Amino acid sequence: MRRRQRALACALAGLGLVAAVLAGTMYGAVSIPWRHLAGIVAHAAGLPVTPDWPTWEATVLLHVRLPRVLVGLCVGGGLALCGGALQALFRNPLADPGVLGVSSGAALGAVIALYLGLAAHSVWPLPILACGSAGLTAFVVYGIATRRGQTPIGTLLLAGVAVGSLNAALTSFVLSLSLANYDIGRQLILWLLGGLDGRTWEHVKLVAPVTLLAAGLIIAYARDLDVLLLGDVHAASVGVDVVRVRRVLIIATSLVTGVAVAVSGVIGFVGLIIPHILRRLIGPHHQWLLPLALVVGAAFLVFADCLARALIAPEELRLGVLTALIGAPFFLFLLLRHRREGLL
Amino acid sequence: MSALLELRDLTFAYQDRAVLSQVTFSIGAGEVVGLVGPNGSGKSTLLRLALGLLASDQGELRVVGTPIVALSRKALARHAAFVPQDTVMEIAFSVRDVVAMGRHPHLGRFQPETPADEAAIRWALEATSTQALTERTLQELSGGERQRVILARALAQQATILLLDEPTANLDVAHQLEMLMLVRAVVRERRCALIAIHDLALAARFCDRIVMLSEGAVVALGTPREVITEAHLARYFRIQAKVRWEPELGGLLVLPRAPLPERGVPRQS
Repeated sequence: MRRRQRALACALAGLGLVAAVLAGTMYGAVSIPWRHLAGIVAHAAGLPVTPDWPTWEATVLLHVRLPRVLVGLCVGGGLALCGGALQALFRNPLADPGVLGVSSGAALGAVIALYLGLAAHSVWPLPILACGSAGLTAFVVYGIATRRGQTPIGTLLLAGVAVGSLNAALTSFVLSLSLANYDIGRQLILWLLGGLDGRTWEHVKLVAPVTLLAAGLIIAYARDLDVLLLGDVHAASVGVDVVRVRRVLIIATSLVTGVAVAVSGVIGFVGLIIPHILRRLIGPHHQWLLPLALVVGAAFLVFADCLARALIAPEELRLGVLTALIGAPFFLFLLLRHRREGLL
Repeated sequence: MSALLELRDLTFAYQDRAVLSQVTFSIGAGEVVGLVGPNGSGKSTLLRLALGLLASDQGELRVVGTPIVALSRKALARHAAFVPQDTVMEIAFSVRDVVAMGRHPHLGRFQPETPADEAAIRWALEATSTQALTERTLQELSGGERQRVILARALAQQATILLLDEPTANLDVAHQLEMLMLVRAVVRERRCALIAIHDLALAARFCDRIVMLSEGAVVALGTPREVITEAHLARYFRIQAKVRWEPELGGLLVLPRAPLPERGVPRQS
């Protein structure tokens, strides 16, 4: 029965991904007919196709929609995958990519870049500062929680929460300073609400390689994560190097989270709910759960982005607001339905 | 008889607090050895050293002839398996999944289960009579069933050394007996077991030999009759007890009567 559910879930996730990419590229302030999509992409790739579409369609698709969709895929997939891995690593259903304070660290770096006006001239300073401060946060949290080579999970969570609130306070501080200047204050707030508007190929170049490499690494540890759920001593007794696995996974998930926040702002709930929903559907095995989280998270975020563009058009709803608006009630619904058994 | 587990002059300290000092004994194939001692005598630390969770400061620990320091974590897990006092698992893995986790040291990162793995899992389930439980989750089981499943997980590892830390502490008497009879049955002549255990009567009933620890040192080593004596219990466990050998039952009756005052603590008068 499980096997059939898994096959079905994989097929649906694949279809969902294709549908999300099509919707994300076709739909917008102006629609591009699906017949033109393949032609434009093939033409851009240098294949011998005679253009039978207006030039603006190619421009919009190649320079606006495609990078936006690709960034959305990486961010959504990356966050969902990290959430799934961290929930197992911390044996805690509430763990999500923000649990170690990494996303608030990235947000702090980004608002500093915006506040200082560094982000006005080039796309690079913001993501670089965001990633840097995400990495620094992960390093500090891990360092605080580690004593004599041992990193107890409880201490790690507490350190993450504490450093995370410090980051959030500093972010608010920068934000309150920026309010004196309307333009910068507005930029900061928009960025903090999370979104994929105005993403370029530079953003894709930053987020795609990091996410794909780290995702491969995290998925390679799927079986170790299964065993870690039995507890550290159990895991060690069946041959898992607990200290190394934990260190590798914390570095990999911090990287993914850092670049995701760096290119899209703060997007909540994807990393929390997608793994929970999938666990309900296909069971707790990480060799299935993690790749599916990657695909479903990617499709979900691109769909959500379409919705964010459509709901109050011609204005755009901020993506971070929308994911929380969908995510929180859905999560509560799951919680109420499975009150008795617990969520994991 | 070649030793499966050999400890020689094993010494370990947390910071500057000595926990084990010069522990020497070995366990051969077919043996079930009980590890007894009051709280804080170093039983758990000793098991953790044998599991490779801690590294000794001095001395040597050999696993099936190889020094433990020369073994990778996976290689060690193919030789030695562990059963703790209790296992909590919040995520709904089925019993079969949990037993299959015992195959972890035999599998490559992306390698699917082979027929050999399936055979090992089936054998482990049969040996512990847990076949009927395979589709249930760990949380749904009673304490006795859960402990049998964890033993099955350890057996699926196909390790020759079983290390058990108070495996019966949370079980009722019937399940305590069932658990230890299972361990006895699977050890037979190829495997061995080292069981840290508080219940001295059970230890005497099921173990071939007993190692008694006190303040990190082996203070007695031998058959249950030689080790569990009124004098040893008074000296090392600080209890006044009655111990009687029952030849017809082939077991010891241990009746603890009263605690004795701590050594070195002056009496209040």
